[in-house]
Amino acid sequence: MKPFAYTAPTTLDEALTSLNGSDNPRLLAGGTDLLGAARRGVETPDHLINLKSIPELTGIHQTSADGLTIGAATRLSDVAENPPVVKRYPILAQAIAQTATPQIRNTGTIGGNLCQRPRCWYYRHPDFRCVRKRGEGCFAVGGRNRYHAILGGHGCFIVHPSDLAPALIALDTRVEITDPEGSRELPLANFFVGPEENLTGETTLAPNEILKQIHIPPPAAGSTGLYLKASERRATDFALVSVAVVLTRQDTPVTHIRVVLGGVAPIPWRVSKVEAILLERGISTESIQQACDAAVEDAHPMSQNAYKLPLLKGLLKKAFFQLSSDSD
Amino acid sequence: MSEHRVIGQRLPRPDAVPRVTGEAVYADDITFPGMLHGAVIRSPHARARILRIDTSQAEALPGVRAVLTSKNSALFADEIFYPGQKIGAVAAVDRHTVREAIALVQVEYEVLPSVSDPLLAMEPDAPEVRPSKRPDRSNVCSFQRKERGDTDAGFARAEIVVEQTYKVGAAHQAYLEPHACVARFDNAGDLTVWTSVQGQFVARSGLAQILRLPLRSVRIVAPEIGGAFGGKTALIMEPIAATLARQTGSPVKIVMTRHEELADSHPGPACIVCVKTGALSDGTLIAESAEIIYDTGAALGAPSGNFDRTRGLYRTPNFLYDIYSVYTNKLIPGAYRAPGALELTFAFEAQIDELARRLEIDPIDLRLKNAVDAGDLSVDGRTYPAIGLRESLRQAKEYVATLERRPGLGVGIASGKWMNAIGASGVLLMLDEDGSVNLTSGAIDLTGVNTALAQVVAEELSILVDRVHVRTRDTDASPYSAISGGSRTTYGTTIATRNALQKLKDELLQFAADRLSISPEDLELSDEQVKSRDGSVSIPIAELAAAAMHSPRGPLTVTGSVSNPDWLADSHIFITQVAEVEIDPDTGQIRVLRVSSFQDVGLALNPLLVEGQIEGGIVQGMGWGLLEGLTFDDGTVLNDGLLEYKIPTALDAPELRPVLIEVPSPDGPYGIKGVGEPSMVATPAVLANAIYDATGVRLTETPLAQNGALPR
Repeated sequence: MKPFAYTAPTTLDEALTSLNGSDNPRLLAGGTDLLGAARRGVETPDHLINLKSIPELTGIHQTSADGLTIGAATRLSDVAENPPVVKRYPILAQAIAQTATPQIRNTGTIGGNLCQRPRCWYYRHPDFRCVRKRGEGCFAVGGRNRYHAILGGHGCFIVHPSDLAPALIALDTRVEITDPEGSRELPLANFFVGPEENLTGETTLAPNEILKQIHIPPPAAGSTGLYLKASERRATDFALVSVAVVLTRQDTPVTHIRVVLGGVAPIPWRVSKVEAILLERGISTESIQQACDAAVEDAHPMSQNAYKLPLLKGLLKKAFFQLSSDSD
Repeated sequence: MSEHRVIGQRLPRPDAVPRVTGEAVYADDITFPGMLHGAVIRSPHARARILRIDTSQAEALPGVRAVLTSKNSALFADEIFYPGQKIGAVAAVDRHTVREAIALVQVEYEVLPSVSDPLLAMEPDAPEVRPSKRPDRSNVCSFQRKERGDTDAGFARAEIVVEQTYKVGAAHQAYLEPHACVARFDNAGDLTVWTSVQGQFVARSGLAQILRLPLRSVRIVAPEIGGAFGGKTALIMEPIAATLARQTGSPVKIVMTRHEELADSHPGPACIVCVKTGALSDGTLIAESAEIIYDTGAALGAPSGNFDRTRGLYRTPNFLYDIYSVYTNKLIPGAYRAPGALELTFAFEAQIDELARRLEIDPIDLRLKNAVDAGDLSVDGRTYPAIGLRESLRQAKEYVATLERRPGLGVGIASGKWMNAIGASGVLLMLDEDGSVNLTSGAIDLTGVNTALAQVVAEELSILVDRVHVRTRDTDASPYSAISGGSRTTYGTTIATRNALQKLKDELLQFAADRLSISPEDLELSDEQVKSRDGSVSIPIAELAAAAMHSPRGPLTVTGSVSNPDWLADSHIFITQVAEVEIDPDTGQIRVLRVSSFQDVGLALNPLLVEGQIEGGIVQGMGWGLLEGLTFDDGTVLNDGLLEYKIPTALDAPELRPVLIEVPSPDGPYGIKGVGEPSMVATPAVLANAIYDATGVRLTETPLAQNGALPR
C-alpha cells in the first residue's frame, strides 16, 4: 500500500472541507472494502478521511414521520440489533445477518455497504486494466463470468455486491447527501447508476459529496418483507442471487409490492414487471409462476452464468410462497 | 480391556493451548534489529521473454537495499512459463517500500503464444510449453501405463459398459499460515533460516545446494507451523530471502500474501479422467480402461505417480490405465494431502455408483461383491495383507440401513484407499536424573506426532506421560528426519522411538542388574520402577537414572532410527464414507448434513487426535469437492484471496462421524496405519454420489456447488 495522509475530522463540515481541499482523497468508514483494495493497489488514495470519528454520522433515530434515520457511519451490527429495526424492518435485519461475517459487521457501516465497490475479479486484479479502472473492455465477456451480471450490463458486467441495498430499496429508503453548499435527498433506487450512465462508478455521489444518512419511511400498512440470498458458502460470501420482497396483501389481492434483486445486475435491480403481475393478479400459484418467469424475461446470460436464471426464479418463488404462507 | 496403559488414551495435544492464546511463535513472529523485508517481482504474462529490465528507479528509491533479477542472480530467468512467475526480488527497510519499489521496475516483454488447457496443450499444433516426452502428443511431461489381462476381450464379454469423463479442478491447501521465512547470515558466513516447512532437513539440503554452501553452514529452524497439507514441502521463498540476506548483509524476511499463495505456490492439480467400466449383469467387474490427464502446469509437479497407492479397491481382471501429466502455462501444482488420490477417487467411485444405479444393485452390495481381500493383488501387483475394506463397507451398510429417507435428501457412498510411507527418521532419547525422558526429534509436528510419541515412551517405560518431554528441534540439534508427509510421520518416528526405547530398556535393566547383582532377564519395568519379576526388589527409575549419571556408566542416552528406501509401508488403508445431503427443491442449493467416515486406522495411538484428523479431512475434502476452485483466465489465477477461493466456514461443515476400524498393518508399530491423508480422499466422490441419490443428476465436475445443472 502506498503512503497516504490521514485525517479524522469530528464534524461533517470539517470532513467536507478536508474532502474538497485534498488531492485524490477517499472517505474511510469501516475500511473493510477500501483497505483491501488499497493493499492490492486497486485503490490508490493519497488522503484518507475517517468518517467514524464524526458523531453526527452515527446513530439511529426515530423520525417525526414515524420512520427511521440511520447515520451513514453506523455500524452494521448496531443497525441489526436496533429494536425498532428488528421489530418494524425485519427484512433489513435479515439482510445484515446474511452479510459477510460478525467481525466485518462489527466494523463495516451502512454507508460503506451502500458505497462499496464491485467484487468483480477482473476489477480487483491489478493485472487486468478493465473499463471500470479506466482501461479498456470487460474481461468477463470472453472470460470467467460465473459471478457476473445477467441483467443491465452495458460494456461492464459487474454485479452490485450489497445485501442491504435491495432490502433498503424495497423499503423505499431515501438517502441524504451533503456537499459544502448544502444537501440533497433522493430515493436510494436513484442513488445507484448502471454502466450505461457511468462506467467507473456505481453511484451518483460526486467527488465533493458525502453520504450523510438514510431515511426509511414507516413500513407500508400491513406489509411483510423477506430477504433471501443464494450463495455458494453459508457465510463470508456475496450473493449469486438475492431477492428482497416487501408486500401487503388482503387474502389474494396484493395492494403494495416491491421486488428488488441483488447479485444479478450492476445495480440493485427492481423488477416492476414482477410487481405489476402480482398487483394485477394477486397471489396464486399461477401468478407466482408468471411473476418468476417475468423476472428473467430481459436477462442476457453469458457463457457461464445462465445458472442464475433458474436460481433467481427458484429463490423468488420461495420468497413469494414463504410470504404468502406467513401472512395466512 | 486394552493391553496398553497409555497407548489408546484420548490425550489432547499440549501445544494446542499456546496456539489458541497466541503464545506460539511462527516464522513471521521472528524479527531482528536491522531486518529487511523482501518480496518478489512477478510476470503478468503466461509465456514471454524478457527483452529489457530496468531496475534503476527501484534501486534509487530510499530504503531499498537490494534488487535481484536475472542480471545478478541465477535464481531468476528471462524466459517466462506462467503468469505470476518470479522474475526478480527486492529487499527494503519495510514492506511498503518493497511494494513501491516493485511497482517501479520496468520490464519489456516479448509476449509468446501460450496454452492453459491441458487437452488443447496435447494437440499437435499447440504452443510448446516444454518439449514433449511423447512423439504423438504435445507437451507431455510424463506418461505411465498400468495394464493387466486383455481389456478388449473383457469389454467384449461385458453386459454393461459405463463411460464418463470427470473433471477435478485445481485446489489450494489453504493452510492458514502463508509461507514465511527469515534468513540471516552470521559473521562466519553460516546461514540460519527460520521457515514454515514440513521438512527441515530437506529444506537444508535444498538450500545448501542452491546457495552452494556446505551442508554444515546451513541451519534450518522450524518454528510453529500453521498448517501445510503437502503445500510446504518445497522451497519457495527461502533461497530468495537467503540470497537477499547475503547480498545486503542484513537478515531478510519474506512473507507471502494470500494472493501470492493462490497464484504461485503448489496446489493440488486439476485432473481429467475419462473412464470406461464394464461388468456382467450381476455386477461382477470385468474390464476397465481410463485415460487420466493431470494438468502439471509449467513444470513437473502433478502427483501422477500415486495410482497404485490409491486405486485397487475392486477385483478387475482386465484393465488398462494411461496416465499423463501435461504441461500448460500455469502455476506448478504439488502435493495436497494424499496427492493424486482425491481426483481419481472422485472419478472411479462415481463410476461404481453409476454402474450400481444402472444395474439396480445397492451401491454397497456392488462394492462388497467386487471388494479386494487379503491375498488379492493391487494394481502394481502388491499382495494385500489383511485389510479393512470389507469391514468398512459392512459397517457403512449397517449405518445406511438406519437412515430415514425423504424427498430432497440424498445418501451417498464412496470408498477410498491410500498407502502411507515410512521414510527416514532418527530420534535422540535421554533419561534425566529425575526419571523424566527427553525425546528430541527432527520431524515437524503437524498432526500431534509428538503427543503420540510421548504416549509410546510412557507406555514402554511404564512411566507417566507427563514425565515425557518431546520436542522437535532445529537441524543442528536434532537427528535427521524426512518430511512430515505421506502419512509417515507417526508411523516412522514411532518405529525409530521404539528402537531407541529397546536400547534404553536394555541399558537400564543391565545397569540395575549390575547394582542388584541379578540377571537382567529377571528384571522388568513397572510403575516407574525396575522390579525383579519375583517382586523381591525394586528401584525407582529416577534413582537409577541419577546413579548412572554419576557412575562410570554415564548418562543414559540412546538413539533410534528407521528408514525404508522404498518409501511406502506395507500399510493399506481403506475407508468408506457415507454422506447425507439435502437439496433445496427451488434453488438446487446443496446442504451437506452429515458425513460418516468408516476408516481403517490399524490401531489408534490416540483416538482423539485420530478422530480430529478424520474430521478435518472430511471438511477439507468437502471444500475441494464442493466449494473450492482455483479459477484461471488464460493461466492467470483470478481468486484474490479466501473470499473468492471459498474454503468452507464453520457454518458449511456438516455433522462429522468418524468411526474407527482397527485392522493392524503388518509392518506398523502396534499395527498403526497412516491416518491424515486417507481421511479426505473419498469426500468429493461421496458428495457427488449423494447428490445423485437426491436428484438423479450426475455431477461430474468439481467444485460441485458451481454446477449449472441444479435446480432443473
